[in-house]
Amino acid sequence: MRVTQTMLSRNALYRLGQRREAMDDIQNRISSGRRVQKASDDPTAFSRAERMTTRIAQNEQYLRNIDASEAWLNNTVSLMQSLSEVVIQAKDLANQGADGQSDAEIRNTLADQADALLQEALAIVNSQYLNKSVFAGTDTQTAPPFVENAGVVSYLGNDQTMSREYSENVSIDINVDGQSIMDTGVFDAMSDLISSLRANDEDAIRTTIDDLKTAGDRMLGLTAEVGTRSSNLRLIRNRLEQTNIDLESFRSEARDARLDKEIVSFQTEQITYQAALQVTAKTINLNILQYLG
Amino acid sequence: MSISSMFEIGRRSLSTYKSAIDVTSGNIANANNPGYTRRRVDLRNLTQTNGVLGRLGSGVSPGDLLRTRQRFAETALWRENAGLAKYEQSETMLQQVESIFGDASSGGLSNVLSEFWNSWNDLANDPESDSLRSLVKNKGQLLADSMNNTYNRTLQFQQQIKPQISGTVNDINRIGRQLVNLNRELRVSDNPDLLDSRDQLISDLSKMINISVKEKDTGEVSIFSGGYLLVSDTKQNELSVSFNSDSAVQSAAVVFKDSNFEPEIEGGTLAGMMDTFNNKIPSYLDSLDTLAVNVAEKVNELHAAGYNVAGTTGVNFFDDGVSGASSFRMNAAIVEDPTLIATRAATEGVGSNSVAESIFNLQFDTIVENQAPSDFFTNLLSVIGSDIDNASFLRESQELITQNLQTQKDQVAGVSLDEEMTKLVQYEQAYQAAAKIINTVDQMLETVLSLR
Repeated sequence: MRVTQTMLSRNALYRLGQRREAMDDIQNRISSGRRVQKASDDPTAFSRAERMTTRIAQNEQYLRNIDASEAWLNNTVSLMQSLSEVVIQAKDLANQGADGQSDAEIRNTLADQADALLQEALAIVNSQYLNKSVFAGTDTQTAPPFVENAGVVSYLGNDQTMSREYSENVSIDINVDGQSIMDTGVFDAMSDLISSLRANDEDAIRTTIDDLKTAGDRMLGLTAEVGTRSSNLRLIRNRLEQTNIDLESFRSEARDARLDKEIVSFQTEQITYQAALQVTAKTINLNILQYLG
Repeated sequence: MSISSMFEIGRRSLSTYKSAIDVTSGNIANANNPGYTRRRVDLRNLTQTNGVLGRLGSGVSPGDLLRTRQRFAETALWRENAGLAKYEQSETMLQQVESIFGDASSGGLSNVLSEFWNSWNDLANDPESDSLRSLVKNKGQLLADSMNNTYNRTLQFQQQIKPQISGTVNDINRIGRQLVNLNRELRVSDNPDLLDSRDQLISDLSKMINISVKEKDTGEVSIFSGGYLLVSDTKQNELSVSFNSDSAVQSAAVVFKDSNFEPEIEGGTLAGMMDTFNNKIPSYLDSLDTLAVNVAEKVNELHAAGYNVAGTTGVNFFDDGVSGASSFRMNAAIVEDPTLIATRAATEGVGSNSVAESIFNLQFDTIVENQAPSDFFTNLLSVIGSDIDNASFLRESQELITQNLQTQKDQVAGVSLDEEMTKLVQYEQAYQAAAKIINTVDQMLETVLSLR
């Protein structure tokens, strides 16, 4: 083969250029930590990684929903527990009132105390959290949802649920609507207690003890049910967090550079490049002129 | 044989080796000129027919000046150059389009789209909130800006290709003119310099458009492109380009000026530019339009059926007239008053988030050509990525092919300094020897003349 000047320089430049390009690619991957930076680097891996990124971002939204809902549910549970305590206190009053030794005067005082408890219960069910009425169904802005008229409590809110999503097609109702609280009979029992104390009617007072007990049990049942939703949320949170860890490692597999591998190939390239440079420097200087006198 | 004819032999040798050294120095001077074809002088011996001792040599004379060319590699190079230039051009241009679409910054379409859906989730968590409605409005505007921006930047890039196409067509015509002129000169002279510049022009032309070359014995060439005659030995068919920007889809057409025939442009930078301009960019923009129209339509459908806190309904979230990515904008009424953003259905209380949640969930629904919006956009990015990947793969293999052909051509047509220097020494020694002959003959003559 004839080896000519243009051939020598063109081939030397082409090969050196290719080595340089390979080193540049590796350097790029190492310094960015990514094997796939643009779609054109590896279209399949890119679209797989993008899908994972979308899923991760969506799951992060769901985790935010869980944070917000847990706060709301905890607040709801503690309000309901306070309400249950009020019912227990009311039951105490009823027990005192049902005592045969109590007279009209004592029962009247007890009625005043029961009235105060009713007001406290009203304050609890009318409370707001983040500017929303907690027990008003979805009618969160019309305050207060519970009103008392002559010792009788009525509910103005609706019985709709506030639902939040925690995964695709997985949603949980985070509110307890006022109607369910009315349905426990708490307020009816307390109203009955006050009126029977005022009327000094021992038998009626005795009946309210049972009513209050039933209402209190129902309240506990309702509170426990809300607590279950809380623990369901914790399960969902664990699942979402685990999913995201998995997704992140899949994504990393699809698009990240494996440093150990890259560094080894960089060193190989470096040695090849240096060798190529040395050989080129030597051969390009070799020519007959050095030997002609 | 007379003594004076021996003088003549010496004189011929001197002049022959002088011209051989001349050609060699020309080769050395052009050792690094890629468009140069090495030249060689053939030495021919002259014979004298009626000598005393039978046939005697009567010296040497320079034969024809030969251009050492590798015709096969040349023709193949012209063909492969067209492929290389096409893929190189497509790759560079599409990479720029990719950087517009695949903008990974926080303002990039992919991120903004996901932030838009997320803002609806935030609103669904607190559907009574006015401040979160402002957030949704802001993200909606950001999405609209980003959509317009991506579309317009791509359109601008497409516009920038226009002058490049016209410029290339002008270059092709200019080279055509020069080749016609060279043909005219070659008909009367076979100067190797003319042939060198002819080859250089053809090589330049082969990088712009696919050509096939027919060469006559005189060195005149006819050049065909896509089945039509581009340059004949006497005449040139000029190309012209026309742009159609009336319809929604921009297009460029290259035709012969006189006949209006449209050659099939398969190679060269022109093919790369035409393909990007006529096919690739319009199809990407079309996909972006599809995304914009479907997102606007589906969001509007859900939103218009919903109610805001005050009970207003029937308001579109995006503008009614969204017909593509360039007209993708928010409903001006909502920009003016974000409290119009709806979150609930008719019979529900203000604390209900059913509409906001449905809009958030649109991102999972296969609402854009049977794909979820983000999947659709990711697919668009992968399509652009694959287009680049293909072009770059083909470019690399074309590079290898042309590199090999170039080497084959250089093996024959290139200059080797070692070879030329050796020849230089060889010719110089012959020149010295010829001078010695003249010297010797002179002494012989003197000897003869001094006879008494």
